Parts: sequence; C-alpha cells; structure tokens
Amino acid sequence: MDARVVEQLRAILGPSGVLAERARRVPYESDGLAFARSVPELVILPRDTRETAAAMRVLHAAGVPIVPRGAGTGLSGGATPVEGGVVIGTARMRDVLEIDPANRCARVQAGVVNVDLTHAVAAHGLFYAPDPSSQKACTIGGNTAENSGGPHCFRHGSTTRHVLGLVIVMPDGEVLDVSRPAVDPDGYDLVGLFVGSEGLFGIATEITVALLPVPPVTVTILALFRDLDAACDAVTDMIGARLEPSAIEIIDKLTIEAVEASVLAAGYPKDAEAVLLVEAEGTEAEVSSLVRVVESLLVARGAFDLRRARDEAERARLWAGRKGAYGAMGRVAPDLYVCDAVVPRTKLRELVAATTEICRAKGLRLANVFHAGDGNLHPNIPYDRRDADELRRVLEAGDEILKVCIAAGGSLTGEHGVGLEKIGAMEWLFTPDDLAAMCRVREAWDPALRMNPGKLLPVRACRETHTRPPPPGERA
Amino acid sequence: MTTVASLAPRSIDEAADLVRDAARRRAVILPVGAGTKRSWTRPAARCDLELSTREMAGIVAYEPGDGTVTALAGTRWSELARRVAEHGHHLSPELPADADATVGGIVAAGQSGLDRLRFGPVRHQVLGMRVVMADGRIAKTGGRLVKNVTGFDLHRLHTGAHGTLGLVAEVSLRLHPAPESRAIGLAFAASRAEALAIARAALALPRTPWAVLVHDLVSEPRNRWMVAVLLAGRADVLADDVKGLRAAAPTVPVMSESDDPSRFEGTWGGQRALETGGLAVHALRVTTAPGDVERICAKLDEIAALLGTEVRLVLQPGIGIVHACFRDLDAGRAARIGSALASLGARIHWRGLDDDLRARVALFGDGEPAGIALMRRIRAALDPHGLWATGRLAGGL
Repeated sequence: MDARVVEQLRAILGPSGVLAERARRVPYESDGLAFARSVPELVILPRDTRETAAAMRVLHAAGVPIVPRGAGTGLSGGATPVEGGVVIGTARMRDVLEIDPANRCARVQAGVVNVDLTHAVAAHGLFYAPDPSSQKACTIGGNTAENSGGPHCFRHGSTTRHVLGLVIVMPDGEVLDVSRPAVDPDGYDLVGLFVGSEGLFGIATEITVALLPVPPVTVTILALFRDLDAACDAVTDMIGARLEPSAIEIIDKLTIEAVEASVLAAGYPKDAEAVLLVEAEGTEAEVSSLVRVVESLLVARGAFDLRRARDEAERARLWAGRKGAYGAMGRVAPDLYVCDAVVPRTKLRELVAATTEICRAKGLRLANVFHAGDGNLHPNIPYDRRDADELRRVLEAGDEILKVCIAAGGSLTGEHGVGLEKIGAMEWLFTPDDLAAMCRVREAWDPALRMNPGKLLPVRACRETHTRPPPPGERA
Repeated sequence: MTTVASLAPRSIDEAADLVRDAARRRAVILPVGAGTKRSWTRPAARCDLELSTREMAGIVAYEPGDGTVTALAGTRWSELARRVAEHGHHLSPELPADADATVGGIVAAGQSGLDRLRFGPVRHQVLGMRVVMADGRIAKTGGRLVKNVTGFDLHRLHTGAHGTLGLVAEVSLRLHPAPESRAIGLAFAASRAEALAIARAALALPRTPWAVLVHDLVSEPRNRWMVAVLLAGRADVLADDVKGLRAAAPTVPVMSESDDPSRFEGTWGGQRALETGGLAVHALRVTTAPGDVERICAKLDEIAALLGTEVRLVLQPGIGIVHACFRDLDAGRAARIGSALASLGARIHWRGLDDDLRARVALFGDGEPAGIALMRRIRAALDPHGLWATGRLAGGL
C-alpha cells in the first residue's frame, strides 16, 4: 500500500484506526469461508460515518479496491480480502444511536452486534427479529449486506423486511442518507435495493431497523423422528396446512451427536434420527391453538415423542444447541463446509435425500441442520482442509447439491449470500440478460467497480456491460 | 389531450418485440396495466406509445403446498385473489373485490391494501419478477421462493417505480393463510381524539389487528368520527381477539362474520374502499411516523381553516398513513398544503387530481427525494436512451 495513502488514513482515523502491521492484518485474512484466505494489504476501522466517508474519499482517489467487513462470520467469502485491497471493518462502530419505542424502531451503527441490539431494546418489550446462528458475533451491518436470515425468519422474514433506513457511504466517499423510515420509498427503493448487495454498492454505516413486540407466550416443541424423510414430510405438511409457527428447524442425527458431545449439550435425544424444533409465539389462545394442530400433525407423520421446553432456561438451551451446531461440528472434523440452498417446500424430502446421496457417492459425511420451514437447506460437510483431495470432493459435492436444487426450482442461497463461494454458480441460475441488468445497477453505484470486486457477479457478465451494445436503432 | 397509440401484447416475448421495435424508432413507451392509477403520477413528459399488459394475463405457477404464486402482469388482482382463496390462501395487498387493477400495475405502483398493518407493504410480498428491459431483453430477478438472497433484489427497485425502469411482465408473490373467520368492531366517536384513543387501544392488543381505520366521513352531525377495528384469523384465536378488543375498548360493538355474512361482507368491503381514501376526489396521501399522525391531522385542520375549505380524513394510525380529501382545491391551495406538511417532515402524494390539476401540482411535494442523483444514475444505467416515459415521479424520475 502506498505510504502516503496510509499516512492520510492515519490522519483521519488515528493510529488505532489503521492496521498496517502484518500480525494485526492476519486475523482479517478470511471470513467463515475458511479455505479462501488472503491477508489484506491494509485494514481500517473508522468510528463513524464522517470518518468512513473521509477514508473512502482517500481510497477513491488512490483507486484502491475495498472490502467491507462486519464481524467476519459470513460463510460465502463476502469479506475475503481482495488483491491489493483494503478491508474496512465496522468493529469500532458499535453504538446504538437511538431507540424509538413509540414507532418501534432503532437506529444503530453498523458494527452493533445482532444480539446486543435485542438486549438494548428488551426493556421496552421489543426485540429485533432476524437471528442468524452467529447472532452473538455478527453485526447489523453485515446482516444488512448479506440480507441475513435465521430460524425465526420463517415467521418474521429476512433482514430486508426489517431494515427501514440506511446511511451509506458510497464508493467515492459521498454520503447517502436514506435513514429516515418511510411508509413507502420516496422515488426508488434504494434501501430495499441495498440490503443484500454484499458490499458491492457501498458501506452502510448506520442502519434504522424495525423492532417487534416480544410475544406474550412462546412454546418450543421438540419432535423426535426415526427417520429424516418423515421429519421433512412433517414440515411439508405444516406448510401445506398454512400453519405459521415462528420457526421450523430440522436437526439430524450426526448434528445431534456433535451438539450433545459438546459444551452446548441441549438435551437432544440421541435415539432419534432427526428432530424437529418448532416454536410458536403469540397470545395464549394463538399459541395453544397452533400447538394443538402442529402436534397432531407431527404425530400423524410418525413423531415418536414430543417434548416441550418446560421453562425459559430449557428453551434457551434448545436454541443454543441449534445455533451452536456449526461450532459443535468441530468435534467431527477440523473444518465444516456449510452449504446453503433453497428449495420449494413441497420438495424437502426428495432434495434432502438427493444431497445425502451426493455426499455418500463422494465418500463424504453429511450433517443436516436447517431452516426447514423456509425450504432453506444447510447440508453441512465436515472435512479437513489439509486434505486436498477431500476439499476437492467437498467443493464438487457443493456444486452438485446446488445443481439439483436449481433443477427442482430452487436457488443458490437463502441467507449466506453468493460472495466468492458461489460466483461461478450465478450463471447456472441467471441468464446473461439477468446478470447484465444487475451489472448495470452496480455500475450506477460504483462505476469503477472497486467495491468488493470478484464477489457476487461473474466478471464476464459485467464485462459485457462495459462494451455496451450500440443503441438498438444503430444496429446493422 | 393528444391520443397516443396503445398496444396490448399477449405474451412477454411479444412485449419484448414491441419494446425492441419502439427502441429502434426512438419512441417513448408508457407501460400501463388497467390504467386505474394514472392519477398517481404526473403526466409523462413525452409518450408515443402506451404498452398495456392487460392481454398478458394468467397464472404461470401456483404451488398451493409452497404458498407462492407467479402470474403474468396483466392478471387481474381480484381474479388472482379469488383463485388462491380456493386453496385457503390470502393475497396481500387486500384490495376492493371488483377492482380492475392488474398484478403488474399494483406492484409497479407499490399499492397498499387494507391488510397492510398485518402483512406489510406490497414490496414485502414480491419474491421475484421478470422484467422487459429498455433494450427488449428479459431480465429475471429473485425467484419463486419464500427465502432467497441470490443476486441483487432488483424487484425491490421495480416495485413502486411505475414502469420507469422496465416493464414488469411477471411477478412472483408470497401468499398468506386465509383467515378462517373475521370480525369488525365499529364505533362512533364525537371527536378525533376520542376516535384515536380507541384506535390506540386496538393497536395495543397483543395480536395486531388486520386493520385499524379512523375516519370522519360519517354524515351523522354529532358523532362525525368512526373507528373500524378489523380482526381476522383462525376461528378459536379470533374469539380470543374479540374478547381482547371488548376488554380494551368496551364501547366498541363487535360484529362477527357468522352473525350476518352478507351484511358483514358489505361492511368489510367498505373498509377496503376507505383504505385508498374513500370516494373522494382531490385525495392527498400523507405518510409519516405512526406517532405523528395526530400532529399531521391538526396541521391539516389548520390549513383547511386558513384556506376557508373543508377537509375530510381517513387515517391508518398504526402505519402512519393519512388520506385527506379537500373541497375546492386549486393548484395554489395544493401548493400551500404541500409546503405546510413538508415543514412537519411528512411526505405527500396527491393521488386523485384531475388531469388539469395533475399537470400543475407538485404531486410529491417540492423537494427532491434523498438519493435522487443515484436514482437518476440507476435510471440512466437501465434505460440509457430514455425509452420509458419519464418525468412522472418525485424528482422528475
């Protein structure tokens, strides 16, 4: 990195806002996509919008590529550093700026940790709904960039339904303030467009989010099944019956074993091939009505035991086990490839079976723990990245899984994003014309394509828009 | 008014051909559905051709077991709602049952319905789209899945853009469970304050009502205000909601659907029409934070008094929507109303003006939207040669 640029950044951000020594840059070499690594040339940590904008202006003038980063918990390589680039982290933007209980919203800095926001508003009887498994570490800014999900998004929707406003620093350092919540967007919906743009449009420094009232009653049911197929069918039945619990999760035997052997032991029964974790929330009448129907449906599909969390502590333990499942898999193998695909909810059983078969054929183990209610599969493949052949087979299996999901009407990612991981697969789902429209919108935000280059959009698709066809009238 | 050519292709491919042809001739296209929301936008700066989606109709895919539906843009919304209701699904937004409006038109206009308090705006219902772009290419965004983060959400950009960025040709929507039963609490009130207090009590119920409307369209002289609390859901849950409403607002009589189905349907249907501001012309839609609704109403009273005219209001206090209908409106008065509301930080949108006024009134107020420069770049990126009729939205988009 040009020493003058580093000096300018130090002047703006102070000495602790610029990490130049290699030892301090190494922790930023990857996000949750562990096999993609590259030590960034520089890491900067601005404290607010003003500092971010000033730093972005310097980087713009220097023509340096930029990778925005929240907590680095992303699983698709969205925060993997790029060659010659700077990582802008939000770790020093951790303030909850405003809580408005009357209008049920809050304005926070991008680096506020997801669960900290819920804690901050709990006194008002409110909570922030999206709850990724990494919610104890991941940030609202990262969630916004990735349009993150979580178990309770089944009822409440992904991040995009909860972001009301944004302050965005554009690639050239200009500040775009669309932070004031609007009933309907004024002009085009820039906020809705930005959510899920994976750092290609700019960096959000402040986020205004919707808050929901904490439901009066919550019931958590654990349904035990002797086979995974039956658990999948039970979910398909629940969707077909238009039931709306707040979360519907499936956890399979290998995952249960890993969780139960870990510090997160949740009390999941080891004699089940699969468990369904179903949560219902609302008024007493709403919950008891729903639970009655759900339980009879689960039994009809072969659940051999139904357990209800007796108290808040047990409920918390069941969820801690679910959300800690990825970490617990560390007992099975040093690395875990967390696939993320979506399928129509009428096809859960056949696609879970297909993923099992794909892994079996490649000699890989497979653990399933997923947001079944949303059709959001997470086939998790334990592996050891030091074994090059195993890594190759894991990646091949990942591709095959995506292909069968797409063939069934599904999609590449439900909540983890495309990032670096699935950039090559974009062309399986989208035509060049689809991608061209995305590239043009990207160029409107970032004409120099300096924001998170090499992520989400295949280079070929964008190159096409650079050599735009002549206007239709001028064609031969 | 000059008449312009109008074409109604029968398929997306045919629409794409027409667009390519128009682009070759450098013609300017105005995309329309059934044309029910023409008064929502300013007249186009230029328009050589109206391209109507009304003949591109039909359900492309409906998977009742998955709770999603995909329809061509010209499909009548009411028809689609009826079709999915046969399988126990509710289509949001809930609009008047006899409306001509099309799927494409409703989505392109970002129209809300009676059920917005429960299900949110239409942009939250849209899962994906196919759009005919200005060069005649067809671009897909999103998908037919309830959860999906693959690629940019360009459908969020087209929702509410009134066809200024492309022709919305096909839309995928999420569906909701149709309520098993419904009830309405209807109460007269002598003052707005009293009506809003009842509304607040209803909005504080542990289960959010389907809708809460407050209006002063009542002809009764002493009790000019009316509150409508709409409840809907599973039968046993509804009974509990009704009990809750009776406890929270004991003066509100509650009518259940089962008491008198045809009268009930009439009353409920009446609320659907009210949601859009009722029968009145010269309707102004003001949006604000829910907590600011009373302040906006007070300001509207003040302006009406100042102008020596009368204003009637339909309020959705849980969302932050105020519909105001003015008697004797002219361009000068509209401008004064707009600037008075802007000073409170409210957003305005005139929706019911006649053609003459529409050309002379700043429909979206005087200011430009935050981010207008970026919006213009996006427009230029998606429509470099100005194919789509423009000058219709805030900021001249």
